[in-house]
Amino acid sequence: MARIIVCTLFAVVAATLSTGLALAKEVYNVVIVETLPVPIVTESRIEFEKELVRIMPDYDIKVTTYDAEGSELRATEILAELAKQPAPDLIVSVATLATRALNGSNHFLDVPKLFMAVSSPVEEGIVPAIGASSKRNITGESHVLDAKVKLDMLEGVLKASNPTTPLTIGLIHSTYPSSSSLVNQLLALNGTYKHINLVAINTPYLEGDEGLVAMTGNIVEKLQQRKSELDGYWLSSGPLAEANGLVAKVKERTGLFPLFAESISSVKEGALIGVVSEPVSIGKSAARKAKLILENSSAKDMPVGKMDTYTVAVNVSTAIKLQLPIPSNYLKLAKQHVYQ
Amino acid sequence: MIYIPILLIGMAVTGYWAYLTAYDSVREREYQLLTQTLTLNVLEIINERRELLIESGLENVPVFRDAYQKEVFEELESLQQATNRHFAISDKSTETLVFSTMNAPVLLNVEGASIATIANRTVAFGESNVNDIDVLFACSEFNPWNWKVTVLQPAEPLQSSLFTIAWLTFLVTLFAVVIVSLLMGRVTQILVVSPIEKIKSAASRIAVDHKKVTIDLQQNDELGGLARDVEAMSGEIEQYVAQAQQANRAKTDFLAVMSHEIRTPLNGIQGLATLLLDTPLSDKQHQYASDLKSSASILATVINDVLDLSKIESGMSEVDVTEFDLNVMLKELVTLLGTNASSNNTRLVYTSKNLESVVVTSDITKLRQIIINLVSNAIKFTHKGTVSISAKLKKPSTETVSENRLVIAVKDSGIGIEPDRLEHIFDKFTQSDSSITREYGGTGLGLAIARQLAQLLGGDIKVASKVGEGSCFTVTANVQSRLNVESSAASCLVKKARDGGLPAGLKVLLAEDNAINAVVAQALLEQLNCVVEHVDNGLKAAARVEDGGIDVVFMDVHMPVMDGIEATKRIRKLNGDLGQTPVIGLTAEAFKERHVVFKASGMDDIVTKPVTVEALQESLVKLALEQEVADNK
Repeated sequence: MARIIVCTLFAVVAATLSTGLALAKEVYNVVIVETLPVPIVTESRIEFEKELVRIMPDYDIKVTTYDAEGSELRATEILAELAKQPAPDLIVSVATLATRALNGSNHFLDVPKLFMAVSSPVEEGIVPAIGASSKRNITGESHVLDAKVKLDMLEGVLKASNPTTPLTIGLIHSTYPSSSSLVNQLLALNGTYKHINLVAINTPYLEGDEGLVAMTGNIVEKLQQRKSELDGYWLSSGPLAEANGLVAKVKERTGLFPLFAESISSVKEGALIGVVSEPVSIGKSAARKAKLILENSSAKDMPVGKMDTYTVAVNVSTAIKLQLPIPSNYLKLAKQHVYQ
Repeated sequence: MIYIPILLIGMAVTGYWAYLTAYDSVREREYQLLTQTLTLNVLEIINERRELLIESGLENVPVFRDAYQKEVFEELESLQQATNRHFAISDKSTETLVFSTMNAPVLLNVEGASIATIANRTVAFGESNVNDIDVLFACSEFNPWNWKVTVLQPAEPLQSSLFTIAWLTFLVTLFAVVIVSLLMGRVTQILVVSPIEKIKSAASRIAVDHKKVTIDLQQNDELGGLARDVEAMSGEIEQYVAQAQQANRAKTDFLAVMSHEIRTPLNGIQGLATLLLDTPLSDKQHQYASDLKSSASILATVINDVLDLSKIESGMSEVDVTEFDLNVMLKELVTLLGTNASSNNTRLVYTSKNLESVVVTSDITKLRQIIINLVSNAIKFTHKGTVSISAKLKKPSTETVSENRLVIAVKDSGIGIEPDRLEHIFDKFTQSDSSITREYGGTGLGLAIARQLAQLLGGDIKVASKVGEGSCFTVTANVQSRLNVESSAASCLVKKARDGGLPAGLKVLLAEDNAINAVVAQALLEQLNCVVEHVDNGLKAAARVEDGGIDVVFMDVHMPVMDGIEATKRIRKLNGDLGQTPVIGLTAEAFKERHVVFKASGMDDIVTKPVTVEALQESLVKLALEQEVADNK
């Protein structure tokens, strides 16, 4: 009798174990290295995680996130530590510095890698051109528009008020790689637009929150020095664009308004017009690429491209103040992003 | 056929209706496009910006409103270039022009414009003249901005389209009319013309053949009925013609019988009267006998005239052409009729041209009859005057036979004919004056017969006359003529025969069943110095010839036991010279075709009763001449 009971118990345990094994989800280990916890980076990463879990419900997605604290060196260290551990299924880098470190690391050549929120993948040396694939098993998307498109849009806005002389616009930026790269692209087109005259105004990139505050101070100082020659300024993407209170401080000290910005928050704060990729779009788009990679598509074969979804935002209060009416087609495009 | 013009008019009306429909349709479409452009494009462009301003809370911001109105103007300028329509915006209150794609001011006459509601907007549209250009317009108001918005387009493209439509409609209608006409022509050809041609052809065949015809028409319409009627009519015509021919044959037979039956006793009367005159008579008896002969002669003339006319009118008179010496024939006639002329104290003169040594080919009998008739008339109506006969051929003859025209004029110096009677003298039973009949006698058929005979010969008779001076009858006839190189020899023979007369003691067998006629004929032949032997039927005649010793036989055709025809055939079957014995038929049948039958049985010549000594002599001479010519050969 006892033998029967033992056998029965054994059978029940075995069946339970086998069922549990059968019901267990396949696990994917995803490592995310973000450059620094600024809104566009953090929000893009959060949206990525949510979207990946949503579109891969049959898998157990284990995400481990590392903060490089705005430092490429830190990102490199993180990756070196990761190399000592079992290789993850996918490594994701957010923003330029973390991506630069990941692309430069030789520890993970066999691990598929994905980047997001990088302005200039070509200038960063990831691929020779947009549309090309990387041999280092990495792919991703640039989240910013072509410089020409952005200038076209601003020209369209200025043209509506038909100013008699070109508006001199200060291109404020840090030496953060993506910022410099974008500004260089804009400056390359300077002089081709009737109503736009671009002037570069920069500050050295400084890591960390204190560095952001310092960069803000530097920029405000420089704008104050040159406010007489400026009609407004261009707030390019990069850490400086994420600095708290930059627009308000500039306005307070110089009376200048940003005429173009590459973040929604800047438009909310007073930029005349902005065209950006929202973190939601960036995260979702990256998640879809991650799914393909986890489902055995090779990152080597996936070309690096640009995002196909952008958001236009306008600030009508700034427009009224500057007597620069926003053309109706931009106003229509802005839809939910018309701010006052 | 009445349906063809109705159909063509119908097609033309349909074409015009199609044009009007297309005209209205094109105009309506143009106005529809214009009003839609205004409401769905222009006003939407304006309203869209206003809505955008309201949504953005910028409606009352002048810089934005001005900028968006400027955008409207720019879009309308682009639209003007894309659509070739013009746009104008004016202030509704002040009528001030706010914007226009036209260089000149826009002053519209909107009186009489149509009003419609499109997309909840009231739109006025119509035609007007702007700066001397016809335009179509549509206008509406945009109250939020106090605007009056107008869309204009030149009417010229519309007019051009309508012109094109008019031409196309005309050409299509014309094409349709041509096609329908061709089709109807073809259908008419098949259904109407072709059947009519068949019926016409059948009618022509009926007219020629008088036979029943079958028309190949199966249709059951009016033409098919007409064809059946024509077929039925042709059957009846055939039947009537057969009946008419039968009746004509009966008439001919009757005439032949009557001719025979009348001539036979007449022959006896004439013959006996002639014989009686040769006997010793008192003067009174001689006068009676002479009158008797004259009366019989007149009666014979009347009978001959009636028979001739009957033959001519029934178409039985045929032209029997022979070659003869016209000059000789006319000279003989002059000799023959000269006696009558002398008794009337009238001189008969004959002249000719182109007739010497010429023989002509024509119907000598008819020609002789014509001349005798005309000359006899001339003599009859001429007292103590002259009757001249002049004959000529229009062309000189050659040795080869050629067509020629014979003209014989008989001119007298008699009483002449009244002009109003001239045109009737050739009518039957007509003389120029009824008193003439009483004074001169005659049936009034002579000239009618002469003219019809002349017409049978391809000519005619014309008359010219003057009362108190005389008349001239001119006969024409188509003949053939040639120079006669043998005429001298032949003439010698004829002359010899005529001059020398018949040999005396010619043994003649007379076969005649009628005793009186036999007596007359025998007496006449004896006057010609013939030795006459008489038998009363053909069987005896044949037997007598077989016995030999007969030089010539005068054979009556109709005899008991054996008729003359059968007897002649028997004679011709005799051996040797007996079978060649000349046989001259004696008959009261005057018709030529009967004479042909008699000659076919073997008779050498025919003498028609009542017999005269001249006729008997002429026949004997003719036989003698033929025999002599044959011997010479």
